[in-house]
Amino acid sequence: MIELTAVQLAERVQQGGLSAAEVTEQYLARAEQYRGLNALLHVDAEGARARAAAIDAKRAAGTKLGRLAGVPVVIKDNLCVRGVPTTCASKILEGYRPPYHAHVIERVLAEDGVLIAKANMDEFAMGSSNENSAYGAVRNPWNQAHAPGGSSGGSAAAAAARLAPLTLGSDTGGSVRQPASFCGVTAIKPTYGRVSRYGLIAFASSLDQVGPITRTIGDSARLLSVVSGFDKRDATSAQRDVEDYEGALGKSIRGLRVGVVKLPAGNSKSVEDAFAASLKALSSAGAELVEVELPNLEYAVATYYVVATAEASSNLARFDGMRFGLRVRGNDLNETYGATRTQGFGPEVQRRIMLGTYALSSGYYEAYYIKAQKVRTLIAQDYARAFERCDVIATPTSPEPAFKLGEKSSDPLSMYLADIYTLPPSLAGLPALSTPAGFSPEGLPIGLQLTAPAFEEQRLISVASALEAATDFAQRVPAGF
Amino acid sequence: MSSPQITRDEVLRIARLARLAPSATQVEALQHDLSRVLEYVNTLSEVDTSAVQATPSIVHATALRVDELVPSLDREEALSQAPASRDGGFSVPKVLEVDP
Repeated sequence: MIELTAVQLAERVQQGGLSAAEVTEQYLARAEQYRGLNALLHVDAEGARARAAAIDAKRAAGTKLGRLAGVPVVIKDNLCVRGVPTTCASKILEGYRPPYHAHVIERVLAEDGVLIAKANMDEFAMGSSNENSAYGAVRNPWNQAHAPGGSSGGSAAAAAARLAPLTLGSDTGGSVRQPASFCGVTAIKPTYGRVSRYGLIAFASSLDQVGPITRTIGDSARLLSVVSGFDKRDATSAQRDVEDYEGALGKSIRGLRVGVVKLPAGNSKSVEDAFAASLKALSSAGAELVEVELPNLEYAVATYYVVATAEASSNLARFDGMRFGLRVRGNDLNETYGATRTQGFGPEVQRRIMLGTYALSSGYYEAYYIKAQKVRTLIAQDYARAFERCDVIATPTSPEPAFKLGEKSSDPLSMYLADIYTLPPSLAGLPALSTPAGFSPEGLPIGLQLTAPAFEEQRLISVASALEAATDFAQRVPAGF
Repeated sequence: MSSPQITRDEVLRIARLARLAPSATQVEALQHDLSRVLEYVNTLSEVDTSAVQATPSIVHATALRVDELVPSLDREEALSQAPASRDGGFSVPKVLEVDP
């Protein structure tokens, strides 16, 4: 059963070949068996069983089941699920049980998906290695001494280790794409506004998007179709119809113009080799390669770490120990705030709040925050110009395969610099995807990132589907899983 | 080593604004880490943005919703996650000092 994709599983459950209860039991057993990965923070066995029984009863009563019929779904722990612990992998939200569902959760449940667990992550989605979780790092299923990437590392590791056919993550500057690259799976960061952020605990509101992480492009397309669409509870949610993502699967890419940027220095050789091989495969599938330029690419890291931290410092002001979460009493109100936040937040979250507060503070606001917003404009303009000459842009997802746990954790800046490829599409609000593109000689997965103009997710899906058909990378499974 | 971008006093000022209470060791670490990141961020000054508009957010195809009254969380649910509540409200430390 675990070989089945989500699309296949849903069909079997709809037709009665498998019950939702059987599927749920199988995946709950796997969650238990692979606890050592630390990919899951909370397994909701009781909730999942009740839900599966309800789906089976619905089918028995003759009701047609939804597009995710009986399919287990793992949810990143910054997405609110009513009554289920939702911590953002932070001590400040330990024990928090949201009184409402995120929009994407309502959509998954409406299509008869089964939520089985909440996934580990970097605290408040701040990190690229999952080592910033207050509940311990996640291990990469391909090599457990290595990081799974971040911040949606638990979701990506769960997808790779087949702890669920479908997982949801969130992406602010690469947080679904980079862990997908590190774990050898597929992820889509939708156009800003395509998926409602209602119930996604905010990190940087002008960048955050929810996206699928799955083993196949077909499953990502299915899950993206389910969670996309207008929601009036998110003022930035796009008022337009959802494109036919599954219809884009298997579509010929003959004549499609793939933009290629001259890569900056600092990529590992295995990444450069896999990137060259991907371009060759695209060419063989009939795509036309064209050179394009993104002149301000080198400023993306600096721009992002001002914009995102400024927004985070404002968003995280709500964690003050008054309405939810941890409260550490001090002698007066200000001492209570200080003690609560200093004990509740981990070091990276405090570092980013400090950086963002600095960038927004009197005397520095123009030089940092406004300046970064202006460079953000230039980065968006670079894309607009590049897309006059091509239909999608290809780059590596990450300059290197998964690094070792502990290798970068003492140097925040070196961790930030590794986000070079995933940050620019986020700053420009564009859709981007990571698809498996090969393996390093050490057997670690490598991803290819594709970026498209706003609301052109279909192009990304067609290209990823052509690559998936041309290689066996998406079919490989880490040993022991 | 070059002189730090950010002084110890600035770290303390920013921490107060952010409602954080770092220990002496944490202040030292923050001074070091923030200085390094800010030094890197200063590369933005190389970019000529004299004729460029700022982009606070990239929002496509949306509109403001109608401001209408709709059901929301009930009081019990809203208070259920609070560290302390009393008489149907959040219970918080005293904010104003009142003379006896």
